[in-house]
Amino acid sequence: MDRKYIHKNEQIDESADPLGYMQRKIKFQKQPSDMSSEVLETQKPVQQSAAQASSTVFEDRCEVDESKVAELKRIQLKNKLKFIQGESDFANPQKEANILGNEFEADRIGQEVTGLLFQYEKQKMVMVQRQIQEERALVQDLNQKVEQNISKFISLEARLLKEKQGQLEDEVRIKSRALIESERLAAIGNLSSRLAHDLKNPLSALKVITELLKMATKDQTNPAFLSRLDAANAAIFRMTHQIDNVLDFVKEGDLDVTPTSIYEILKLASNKIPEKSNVALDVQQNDISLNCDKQKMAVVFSNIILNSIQAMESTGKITIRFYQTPKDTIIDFEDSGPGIPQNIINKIFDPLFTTKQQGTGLGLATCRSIIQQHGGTITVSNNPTKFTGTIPRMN
Amino acid sequence: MAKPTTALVIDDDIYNVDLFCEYLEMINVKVLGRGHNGREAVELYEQYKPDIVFLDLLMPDYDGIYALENMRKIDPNAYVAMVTAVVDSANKERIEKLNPNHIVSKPFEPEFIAEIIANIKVKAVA
Repeated sequence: MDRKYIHKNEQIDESADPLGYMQRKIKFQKQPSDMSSEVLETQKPVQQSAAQASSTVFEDRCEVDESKVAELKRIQLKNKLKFIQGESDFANPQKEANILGNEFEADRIGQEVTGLLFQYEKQKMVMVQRQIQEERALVQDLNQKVEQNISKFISLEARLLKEKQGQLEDEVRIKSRALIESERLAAIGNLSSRLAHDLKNPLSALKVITELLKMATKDQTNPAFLSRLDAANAAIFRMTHQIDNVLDFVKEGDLDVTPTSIYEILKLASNKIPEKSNVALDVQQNDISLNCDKQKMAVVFSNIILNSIQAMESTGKITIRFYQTPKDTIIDFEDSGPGIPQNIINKIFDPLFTTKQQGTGLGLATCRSIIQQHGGTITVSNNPTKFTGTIPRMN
Repeated sequence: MAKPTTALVIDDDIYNVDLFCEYLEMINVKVLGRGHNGREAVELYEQYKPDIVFLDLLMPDYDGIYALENMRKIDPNAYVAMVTAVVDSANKERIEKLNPNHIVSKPFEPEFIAEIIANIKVKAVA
Protein backbone atom coordinates (compact mmCIF):
# COMPACT_ATOMS: atom_id res chain seq x y z
CA MET A 1 0.00 0.00 0.00
CA ASP A 2 1.37 3.27 -1.11
CA ARG A 3 0.12 6.05 1.14
CA LYS A 4 1.02 9.44 2.17
CA TYR A 5 -0.23 10.80 5.44
CA ILE A 6 -0.14 13.96 7.17
CA HIS A 7 1.97 13.42 10.18
CA LYS A 8 0.80 15.06 13.34
CA ASN A 9 4.05 16.85 13.72
CA GLU A 10 4.38 17.82 10.09
CA GLN A 11 4.93 21.52 9.85
CA ILE A 12 2.71 23.35 7.46
CA ASP A 13 3.29 26.97 6.91
CA GLU A 14 -0.22 28.28 7.30
CA SER A 15 0.59 31.79 6.22
CA ALA A 16 1.93 30.54 2.87
CA ASP A 17 -1.00 28.17 2.49
CA PRO A 18 -4.09 29.78 3.99
CA LEU A 19 -6.54 27.37 2.37
CA GLY A 20 -4.52 24.25 3.22
CA TYR A 21 -4.09 23.32 -0.44
CA MET A 22 -0.87 21.54 0.29
CA GLN A 23 -2.53 19.31 2.90
CA ARG A 24 -5.36 18.43 0.63
CA LYS A 25 -3.12 17.60 -2.25
CA ILE A 26 -1.20 15.14 -0.15
CA LYS A 27 -4.46 13.53 0.93
CA PHE A 28 -5.68 13.20 -2.66
CA GLN A 29 -2.59 11.27 -3.61
CA LYS A 30 -3.51 8.41 -1.30
CA GLN A 31 -4.08 5.32 -3.41
CA PRO A 32 -5.30 2.14 -1.70
CA SER A 33 -3.78 -0.89 -3.55
CA ASP A 34 -6.14 -3.67 -2.43
CA MET A 35 -9.38 -1.92 -3.19
CA SER A 36 -11.93 -3.64 -5.39
CA SER A 37 -11.97 -2.45 -8.98
CA GLU A 38 -15.55 -1.33 -8.50
CA VAL A 39 -14.57 0.98 -5.72
CA LEU A 40 -11.67 2.18 -7.75
CA GLU A 41 -13.93 2.85 -10.74
CA THR A 42 -16.24 5.08 -8.73
CA GLN A 43 -13.42 6.78 -7.05
CA LYS A 44 -11.64 7.75 -10.26
CA PRO A 45 -13.88 10.58 -11.57
CA VAL A 46 -14.14 11.98 -8.06
CA GLN A 47 -10.40 11.99 -7.71
CA GLN A 48 -9.97 13.47 -11.14
CA SER A 49 -12.36 16.33 -10.58
CA ALA A 50 -10.87 16.91 -7.14
CA ALA A 51 -7.39 16.97 -8.61
CA GLN A 52 -8.60 19.29 -11.31
CA ALA A 53 -10.25 21.58 -8.83
CA SER A 54 -7.18 21.51 -6.67
CA SER A 55 -4.87 22.36 -9.51
CA THR A 56 -7.21 25.07 -10.78
CA VAL A 57 -7.45 26.63 -7.39
CA PHE A 58 -3.81 26.04 -6.78
CA GLU A 59 -2.80 27.67 -9.98
CA ASP A 60 -4.97 30.64 -9.42
CA ARG A 61 -4.52 31.70 -5.88
CA CYS A 62 -6.21 34.84 -4.95
CA GLU A 63 -7.18 36.95 -2.09
CA VAL A 64 -10.09 35.41 -0.30
CA ASP A 65 -12.70 36.58 2.06
CA GLU A 66 -11.45 35.93 5.62
CA SER A 67 -14.67 34.19 6.79
CA LYS A 68 -14.62 31.77 3.87
CA VAL A 69 -11.07 30.86 4.59
CA ALA A 70 -11.97 30.14 8.19
CA GLU A 71 -14.90 27.94 7.18
CA LEU A 72 -12.82 25.96 4.76
CA LYS A 73 -10.18 25.44 7.39
CA ARG A 74 -12.74 24.18 9.84
CA ILE A 75 -14.00 21.59 7.35
CA GLN A 76 -10.49 20.46 6.60
CA LEU A 77 -9.69 20.13 10.24
CA LYS A 78 -12.76 17.96 10.78
CA ASN A 79 -11.64 15.77 7.91
CA LYS A 80 -8.21 15.47 9.24
CA LEU A 81 -9.39 14.50 12.67
CA LYS A 82 -11.54 11.72 11.27
CA PHE A 83 -8.66 10.38 9.34
CA ILE A 84 -6.24 10.50 12.20
CA GLN A 85 -8.72 8.72 14.53
CA GLY A 86 -8.69 5.69 12.27
CA GLU A 87 -4.94 5.56 11.95
CA SER A 88 -4.21 2.97 14.67
CA ASP A 89 -6.33 0.28 13.04
CA PHE A 90 -4.48 -0.04 9.75
CA ALA A 91 -3.73 -3.73 10.14
CA ASN A 92 -7.40 -4.65 10.11
CA PRO A 93 -8.86 -4.72 6.56
CA GLN A 94 -12.31 -4.24 7.94
CA LYS A 95 -11.22 -1.15 9.66
CA GLU A 96 -9.42 -0.04 6.57
CA ALA A 97 -12.64 -0.18 4.64
CA ASN A 98 -14.17 2.04 7.28
CA ILE A 99 -11.31 4.38 6.88
CA LEU A 100 -11.83 4.42 3.14
CA GLY A 101 -15.47 5.25 3.76
CA ASN A 102 -14.32 8.17 5.78
CA GLU A 103 -12.06 9.13 2.94
CA PHE A 104 -14.99 9.17 0.49
CA GLU A 105 -16.78 11.37 2.93
CA ALA A 106 -13.73 13.62 2.92
CA ASP A 107 -13.71 13.67 -0.87
CA ARG A 108 -17.37 14.67 -0.93
CA ILE A 109 -16.54 17.54 1.38
CA GLY A 110 -13.65 18.33 -0.94
CA GLN A 111 -16.11 18.51 -3.82
CA GLU A 112 -18.31 20.85 -1.84
CA VAL A 113 -15.31 23.00 -1.16
CA THR A 114 -14.45 22.94 -4.83
CA GLY A 115 -18.01 24.01 -5.67
CA LEU A 116 -17.73 26.87 -3.23
CA LEU A 117 -14.46 27.80 -4.81
CA PHE A 118 -16.03 27.77 -8.29
CA GLN A 119 -18.78 30.01 -7.05
CA TYR A 120 -16.25 32.28 -5.57
CA GLU A 121 -14.31 32.25 -8.86
CA LYS A 122 -17.50 33.16 -10.72
CA GLN A 123 -18.14 36.08 -8.43
CA LYS A 124 -14.59 37.12 -8.88
CA MET A 125 -14.95 36.90 -12.67
CA VAL A 126 -17.98 39.18 -12.52
CA MET A 127 -16.03 41.60 -10.41
CA VAL A 128 -13.08 41.45 -12.75
CA GLN A 129 -15.35 41.99 -15.74
CA ARG A 130 -16.90 45.01 -14.06
CA GLN A 131 -13.44 46.28 -13.32
CA ILE A 132 -12.42 45.73 -16.93
CA GLN A 133 -15.44 47.68 -18.08
CA GLU A 134 -14.60 50.50 -15.74
CA GLU A 135 -11.05 50.47 -16.93
CA ARG A 136 -12.19 50.42 -20.54
CA ALA A 137 -14.26 53.52 -19.87
CA LEU A 138 -11.26 55.12 -18.21
CA VAL A 139 -9.05 54.21 -21.15
CA GLN A 140 -11.60 55.67 -23.57
CA ASP A 141 -11.68 58.84 -21.54
CA LEU A 142 -7.92 58.95 -21.46
CA ASN A 143 -7.69 58.33 -25.19
CA GLN A 144 -10.02 61.21 -25.81
CA LYS A 145 -7.91 63.47 -23.66
CA VAL A 146 -4.72 62.32 -25.37
CA GLU A 147 -6.26 62.99 -28.76
CA GLN A 148 -7.35 66.43 -27.67
CA ASN A 149 -3.89 67.19 -26.34
CA ILE A 150 -2.24 65.87 -29.47
CA SER A 151 -4.42 68.03 -31.68
CA LYS A 152 -3.66 70.99 -29.43
CA PHE A 153 0.04 70.18 -29.62
CA ILE A 154 -0.11 69.84 -33.41
CA SER A 155 -1.82 73.18 -33.83
CA LEU A 156 0.69 74.77 -31.47
CA GLU A 157 3.53 73.18 -33.41
CA ALA A 158 2.07 74.49 -36.64
CA ARG A 159 1.80 77.97 -35.18
CA LEU A 160 5.39 77.87 -33.92
CA LEU A 161 6.54 76.64 -37.29
CA LYS A 162 4.74 79.49 -38.98
CA GLU A 163 6.30 81.98 -36.59
CA LYS A 164 9.74 80.52 -37.18
CA GLN A 165 9.16 80.65 -40.91
CA GLY A 166 8.10 84.27 -40.58
CA GLN A 167 11.24 85.05 -38.62
CA LEU A 168 13.44 83.39 -41.23
CA GLU A 169 11.68 85.23 -44.02
CA ASP A 170 12.22 88.50 -42.17
CA GLU A 171 15.87 87.66 -41.70
CA VAL A 172 16.32 86.90 -45.39
CA ARG A 173 14.52 90.12 -46.27
CA ILE A 174 16.72 92.16 -43.92
CA LYS A 175 19.93 90.50 -45.10
CA SER A 176 19.14 90.89 -48.77
CA ARG A 177 18.18 94.50 -48.14
CA ALA A 178 21.54 95.02 -46.41
CA LEU A 179 23.31 93.38 -49.33
CA ILE A 180 21.50 95.53 -51.86
CA GLU A 181 22.26 98.54 -49.68
CA SER A 182 25.98 97.76 -49.55
CA GLU A 183 26.11 97.17 -53.29
CA ARG A 184 24.22 100.38 -53.82
CA LEU A 185 26.65 102.22 -51.55
CA ALA A 186 29.63 100.72 -53.39
CA ALA A 187 28.14 101.88 -56.69
CA ILE A 188 27.43 105.30 -55.20
CA GLY A 189 30.98 105.30 -53.84
CA ASN A 190 32.48 104.69 -57.28
CA LEU A 191 30.19 107.17 -58.92
CA SER A 192 30.76 109.90 -56.36
CA SER A 193 34.50 109.33 -56.38
CA ARG A 194 34.45 109.79 -60.14
CA LEU A 195 32.14 112.78 -59.89
CA ALA A 196 34.27 114.36 -57.17
CA HIS A 197 37.36 114.04 -59.33
CA ASP A 198 35.62 115.58 -62.29
CA LEU A 199 34.20 118.45 -60.23
CA LYS A 200 37.29 119.20 -58.22
CA ASN A 201 39.49 119.77 -61.26
CA PRO A 202 37.43 122.71 -62.50
CA LEU A 203 37.06 123.94 -58.91
CA SER A 204 40.82 123.87 -58.64
CA ALA A 205 41.01 125.92 -61.80
CA LEU A 206 38.51 128.44 -60.39
CA LYS A 207 40.54 128.72 -57.23
CA VAL A 208 43.68 129.52 -59.18
CA ILE A 209 41.75 131.98 -61.35
CA THR A 210 40.56 133.96 -58.32
CA GLU A 211 44.16 134.15 -57.16
CA LEU A 212 45.36 135.19 -60.61
CA LEU A 213 42.68 137.88 -60.78
CA LYS A 214 43.72 139.17 -57.41
CA MET A 215 47.38 139.29 -58.38
CA ALA A 216 46.64 140.91 -61.71
CA THR A 217 44.56 143.66 -60.21
CA LYS A 218 46.38 146.88 -59.55
CA ASP A 219 44.04 148.22 -56.89
CA GLN A 220 43.85 145.34 -54.45
CA THR A 221 42.19 147.43 -51.77
CA ASN A 222 38.99 148.09 -53.77
CA PRO A 223 36.30 146.77 -51.39
CA ALA A 224 33.83 145.92 -54.14
CA PHE A 225 36.45 143.81 -55.91
CA LEU A 226 37.55 142.11 -52.71
CA SER A 227 34.03 141.21 -51.62
CA ARG A 228 33.32 139.65 -55.03
CA LEU A 229 36.51 137.69 -54.81
CA ASP A 230 35.50 136.50 -51.34
CA ALA A 231 32.08 135.53 -52.63
CA ALA A 232 33.67 133.48 -55.42
CA ASN A 233 35.97 131.76 -52.93
CA ALA A 234 33.05 131.06 -50.59
CA ALA A 235 31.13 129.49 -53.47
CA ILE A 236 34.12 127.30 -54.32
CA PHE A 237 34.43 126.29 -50.67
CA ARG A 238 30.76 125.38 -50.46
CA MET A 239 30.94 123.18 -53.51
CA THR A 240 34.10 121.51 -52.24
CA HIS A 241 32.52 120.94 -48.85
CA GLN A 242 29.44 119.36 -50.36
CA ILE A 243 31.50 117.04 -52.50
CA ASP A 244 33.61 116.08 -49.47
CA ASN A 245 30.44 115.54 -47.46
CA VAL A 246 29.09 113.04 -49.96
CA LEU A 247 32.46 111.33 -50.27
CA ASP A 248 32.93 111.11 -46.51
CA PHE A 249 29.47 109.63 -46.15
CA VAL A 250 29.74 106.97 -48.82
CA LYS A 251 33.38 106.14 -48.18
CA GLU A 252 33.52 102.80 -46.48
CA GLY A 253 36.90 102.01 -45.15
CA ASP A 254 38.79 100.57 -42.28
CA LEU A 255 39.73 102.87 -39.47
CA ASP A 256 43.37 103.82 -39.16
CA VAL A 257 43.35 104.14 -35.38
CA THR A 258 46.27 105.85 -33.68
CA PRO A 259 46.54 107.81 -30.44
CA THR A 260 45.98 111.39 -31.56
CA SER A 261 45.88 114.59 -29.56
CA ILE A 262 42.60 116.46 -29.73
CA TYR A 263 44.51 119.63 -30.68
CA GLU A 264 45.84 117.84 -33.74
CA ILE A 265 42.34 116.77 -34.75
CA LEU A 266 41.12 120.35 -34.31
CA LYS A 267 43.96 121.61 -36.49
CA LEU A 268 43.05 119.14 -39.25
CA ALA A 269 39.40 120.10 -38.88
CA SER A 270 40.12 123.81 -39.15
CA ASN A 271 41.40 123.27 -42.70
CA LYS A 272 37.87 122.30 -43.63
CA ILE A 273 36.28 125.36 -42.08
CA PRO A 274 36.11 128.74 -43.87
CA GLU A 275 38.19 131.36 -42.15
CA LYS A 276 35.75 134.19 -42.62
CA SER A 277 33.39 134.05 -39.68
CA ASN A 278 32.88 135.90 -36.42
CA VAL A 279 32.67 132.71 -34.43
CA ALA A 280 35.16 132.31 -31.60
CA LEU A 281 36.45 128.86 -30.76
CA ASP A 282 37.00 128.37 -27.04
CA VAL A 283 39.10 125.26 -26.58
CA GLN A 284 40.20 124.14 -23.12
CA GLN A 285 43.86 124.45 -22.16
CA ASN A 286 44.94 120.90 -21.41
CA ASP A 287 45.12 118.58 -24.38
CA ILE A 288 44.32 114.87 -24.17
CA SER A 289 44.95 111.90 -26.42
CA LEU A 290 42.19 110.08 -28.27
CA ASN A 291 42.42 106.65 -29.93
CA CYS A 292 40.90 107.32 -33.33
CA ASP A 293 41.29 107.64 -37.08
CA LYS A 294 42.41 111.25 -37.08
CA GLN A 295 41.34 112.07 -40.63
CA LYS A 296 37.85 110.74 -39.99
CA MET A 297 37.63 112.36 -36.57
CA ALA A 298 38.63 115.65 -38.18
CA VAL A 299 35.61 115.24 -40.47
CA VAL A 300 33.42 114.81 -37.36
CA PHE A 301 34.87 117.89 -35.66
CA SER A 302 34.65 120.07 -38.75
CA ASN A 303 31.07 119.02 -39.48
CA ILE A 304 29.91 119.76 -35.94
CA ILE A 305 31.74 123.08 -35.83
CA LEU A 306 30.45 124.06 -39.27
CA ASN A 307 26.92 123.12 -38.26
CA SER A 308 27.22 125.43 -35.25
CA ILE A 309 28.68 128.28 -37.29
CA GLN A 310 25.77 128.01 -39.72
CA ALA A 311 23.20 127.78 -36.90
CA MET A 312 24.64 130.94 -35.28
CA GLU A 313 24.69 132.71 -38.66
CA SER A 314 28.44 133.16 -38.30
CA THR A 315 28.32 135.12 -35.05
CA GLY A 316 28.81 133.61 -31.62
CA LYS A 317 31.01 131.27 -29.67
CA ILE A 318 31.74 127.54 -29.72
CA THR A 319 33.08 126.02 -26.52
CA ILE A 320 34.93 122.74 -26.84
CA ARG A 321 35.56 120.65 -23.72
CA PHE A 322 36.89 117.12 -23.40
CA TYR A 323 37.63 114.73 -20.57
CA GLN A 324 38.09 111.08 -19.87
CA THR A 325 36.13 108.63 -17.77
CA PRO A 326 37.63 105.20 -16.98
CA LYS A 327 35.96 103.83 -20.11
CA ASP A 328 35.38 106.69 -22.52
CA THR A 329 36.66 109.95 -23.88
CA ILE A 330 33.91 112.54 -23.92
CA ILE A 331 33.96 115.61 -26.12
CA ASP A 332 31.40 118.43 -25.79
CA PHE A 333 30.75 121.04 -28.47
CA GLU A 334 28.58 123.79 -27.04
CA ASP A 335 27.44 126.79 -29.05
CA SER A 336 25.68 130.07 -28.29
CA GLY A 337 23.20 129.57 -31.11
CA PRO A 338 19.41 129.52 -30.95
CA GLY A 339 19.21 125.76 -30.41
CA ILE A 340 17.54 123.03 -32.41
CA PRO A 341 13.75 123.08 -32.82
CA GLN A 342 12.34 120.32 -30.62
CA ASN A 343 10.32 118.78 -33.48
CA ILE A 344 13.42 118.01 -35.54
CA ILE A 345 15.94 117.20 -32.81
CA ASN A 346 15.39 113.47 -33.27
CA LYS A 347 16.01 113.64 -37.00
CA ILE A 348 19.16 115.71 -37.25
CA PHE A 349 21.45 112.68 -37.51
CA ASP A 350 19.34 111.06 -40.23
CA PRO A 351 20.95 110.96 -43.67
CA LEU A 352 19.55 113.47 -46.16
CA PHE A 353 17.74 115.41 -43.44
CA THR A 354 18.54 119.09 -43.80
CA THR A 355 17.04 122.45 -42.94
CA LYS A 356 19.56 124.38 -44.99
CA GLN A 357 19.22 125.24 -48.63
CA GLN A 358 22.88 124.55 -49.23
CA GLY A 359 23.03 121.49 -46.99
CA THR A 360 23.51 117.94 -48.21
CA GLY A 361 21.86 116.44 -45.14
CA LEU A 362 24.93 114.27 -44.79
CA GLY A 363 27.13 116.27 -42.41
CA LEU A 364 25.74 115.09 -39.08
CA ALA A 365 24.81 111.69 -40.50
CA THR A 366 28.50 111.28 -41.37
CA CYS A 367 29.47 112.35 -37.83
CA ARG A 368 27.24 109.67 -36.35
CA SER A 369 28.44 107.02 -38.79
CA ILE A 370 32.13 107.75 -38.09
CA ILE A 371 31.64 107.85 -34.29
CA GLN A 372 29.69 104.60 -34.46
CA GLN A 373 32.55 103.07 -36.44
CA HIS A 374 34.73 103.98 -33.46
CA GLY A 375 32.28 102.15 -31.20
CA GLY A 376 30.98 105.40 -29.73
CA THR A 377 27.82 107.47 -29.65
CA ILE A 378 26.85 111.03 -30.41
CA THR A 379 23.97 112.88 -28.79
CA VAL A 380 22.55 116.37 -28.90
CA SER A 381 20.71 118.48 -26.34
CA ASN A 382 19.30 121.99 -26.18
CA ASN A 383 19.78 124.91 -23.76
CA PRO A 384 22.60 125.34 -24.45
CA THR A 385 22.94 123.56 -27.76
CA LYS A 386 25.43 120.83 -27.07
CA PHE A 387 26.75 117.92 -29.14
CA THR A 388 28.38 115.21 -27.06
CA GLY A 389 30.60 112.55 -28.58
CA THR A 390 31.44 109.53 -26.43
CA ILE A 391 34.26 107.37 -27.75
CA PRO A 392 35.54 104.28 -25.92
CA ARG A 393 39.18 104.56 -24.87
CA MET A 394 39.96 100.96 -25.79
CA ASN A 395 39.05 100.16 -29.38
CA MET B 1 68.89 138.06 -57.93
CA ALA B 2 68.58 134.42 -56.92
CA LYS B 3 68.04 131.79 -59.53
CA PRO B 4 64.30 131.05 -59.84
CA THR B 5 62.93 127.71 -58.68
CA THR B 6 62.32 125.35 -61.59
CA ALA B 7 59.25 123.16 -61.90
CA LEU B 8 57.36 120.65 -64.02
CA VAL B 9 53.57 120.59 -64.09
CA ILE B 10 51.87 117.33 -64.99
CA ASP B 11 48.08 117.06 -65.25
CA ASP B 12 45.74 115.53 -67.80
CA ASP B 13 43.52 118.62 -67.55
CA ILE B 14 45.25 120.98 -70.02
CA TYR B 15 43.25 123.99 -68.85
CA ASN B 16 44.38 123.37 -65.27
CA VAL B 17 48.01 122.99 -66.31
CA ASP B 18 47.99 126.30 -68.16
CA LEU B 19 46.34 128.19 -65.29
CA PHE B 20 48.62 126.65 -62.73
CA CYS B 21 51.70 127.51 -64.78
CA GLU B 22 50.48 131.07 -65.10
CA TYR B 23 50.19 131.26 -61.34
CA LEU B 24 53.64 129.71 -60.82
CA GLU B 25 55.20 132.20 -63.22
CA MET B 26 53.60 135.00 -61.19
CA ILE B 27 55.24 133.77 -58.00
CA ASN B 28 58.55 133.61 -59.80
CA VAL B 29 58.77 129.90 -60.58
CA LYS B 30 60.28 128.88 -63.90
CA VAL B 31 58.13 126.17 -65.48
CA LEU B 32 60.43 124.01 -67.58
CA GLY B 33 57.85 121.65 -68.98
CA ARG B 34 54.21 120.61 -69.04
CA GLY B 35 52.99 117.04 -69.36
CA HIS B 36 49.65 115.31 -69.51
CA ASN B 37 50.37 111.76 -68.39
CA GLY B 38 52.82 109.72 -66.33
CA ARG B 39 55.07 108.73 -69.20
CA GLU B 40 55.56 112.32 -70.33
CA ALA B 41 56.30 113.24 -66.72
CA VAL B 42 59.18 110.75 -66.54
CA GLU B 43 60.61 111.86 -69.90
CA LEU B 44 60.45 115.51 -68.90
CA TYR B 45 62.03 114.79 -65.56
CA GLU B 46 64.92 112.96 -67.12
CA GLN B 47 65.42 115.88 -69.49
CA TYR B 48 65.19 118.82 -67.06
CA LYS B 49 65.82 117.57 -63.48
CA PRO B 50 63.64 120.38 -62.02
CA ASP B 51 63.57 121.52 -58.37
CA ILE B 52 60.01 120.35 -58.00
CA VAL B 53 57.37 118.35 -59.89
CA PHE B 54 53.67 119.07 -59.45
CA LEU B 55 52.16 115.72 -60.35
CA ASP B 56 48.52 114.80 -60.79
CA LEU B 57 47.52 111.36 -59.50
CA LEU B 58 44.72 110.19 -61.77
CA MET B 59 45.72 110.37 -65.43
CA PRO B 60 44.90 108.10 -68.36
CA ASP B 61 47.35 105.31 -69.35
CA TYR B 62 50.30 106.21 -67.10
CA ASP B 63 49.20 107.67 -63.82
CA GLY B 64 50.96 109.70 -61.15
CA ILE B 65 52.06 106.61 -59.24
CA TYR B 66 53.87 105.26 -62.32
CA ALA B 67 55.52 108.66 -62.80
CA LEU B 68 56.59 109.00 -59.16
CA GLU B 69 57.99 105.46 -59.10
CA ASN B 70 60.10 106.04 -62.22
CA MET B 71 61.24 109.53 -61.32
CA ARG B 72 62.53 108.18 -58.01
CA LYS B 73 64.41 105.52 -60.00
CA ILE B 74 66.14 108.28 -61.92
CA ASP B 75 66.78 110.32 -58.80
CA PRO B 76 65.87 109.00 -55.37
CA ASN B 77 65.74 112.57 -54.12
CA ALA B 78 63.28 113.78 -56.74
CA TYR B 79 61.11 116.42 -55.06
CA VAL B 80 57.48 115.72 -55.86
CA ALA B 81 54.20 117.30 -54.80
CA MET B 82 51.30 114.99 -55.55
CA VAL B 83 48.31 117.07 -56.56
CA THR B 84 45.09 115.14 -56.50
CA ALA B 85 41.34 115.57 -56.45
CA VAL B 86 40.51 112.25 -54.81
CA VAL B 87 42.60 109.71 -52.97
CA ASP B 88 40.78 106.41 -52.82
CA SER B 89 41.76 103.75 -50.35
CA ALA B 90 43.25 101.51 -53.06
CA ASN B 91 45.78 104.17 -54.08
CA LYS B 92 46.38 105.55 -50.62
CA GLU B 93 48.75 102.79 -49.55
CA ARG B 94 50.73 102.83 -52.79
CA ILE B 95 51.17 106.58 -52.55
CA GLU B 96 52.26 106.43 -48.93
CA LYS B 97 54.83 103.78 -49.81
CA LEU B 98 56.39 106.06 -52.44
CA ASN B 99 56.37 108.88 -49.92
CA PRO B 100 55.90 112.03 -52.03
CA ASN B 101 57.20 115.23 -50.43
CA HIS B 102 53.74 116.77 -50.38
CA ILE B 103 50.18 115.70 -50.99
CA VAL B 104 48.01 118.59 -52.16
CA SER B 105 44.25 118.16 -52.44
CA LYS B 106 42.35 119.96 -55.15
CA PRO B 107 41.06 122.58 -54.97
CA PHE B 108 44.11 123.89 -53.14
CA GLU B 109 44.74 127.29 -51.65
CA PRO B 110 47.28 129.02 -53.91
CA GLU B 111 49.05 130.25 -50.78
CA PHE B 112 49.82 126.64 -49.91
CA ILE B 113 51.72 126.25 -53.20
CA ALA B 114 53.59 129.46 -52.50
CA GLU B 115 54.62 128.04 -49.12
CA ILE B 116 56.00 124.89 -50.71
CA ILE B 117 58.05 126.94 -53.17
CA ALA B 118 59.34 129.15 -50.37
CA ASN B 119 60.53 126.04 -48.48
CA ILE B 120 62.47 124.78 -51.49
CA LYS B 121 64.20 128.14 -51.82
CA VAL B 122 65.20 128.04 -48.15
CA LYS B 123 66.64 124.55 -48.67
CA ALA B 124 68.49 125.63 -51.81
CA VAL B 125 70.11 128.53 -49.98
CA ALA B 126 71.10 126.27 -47.08
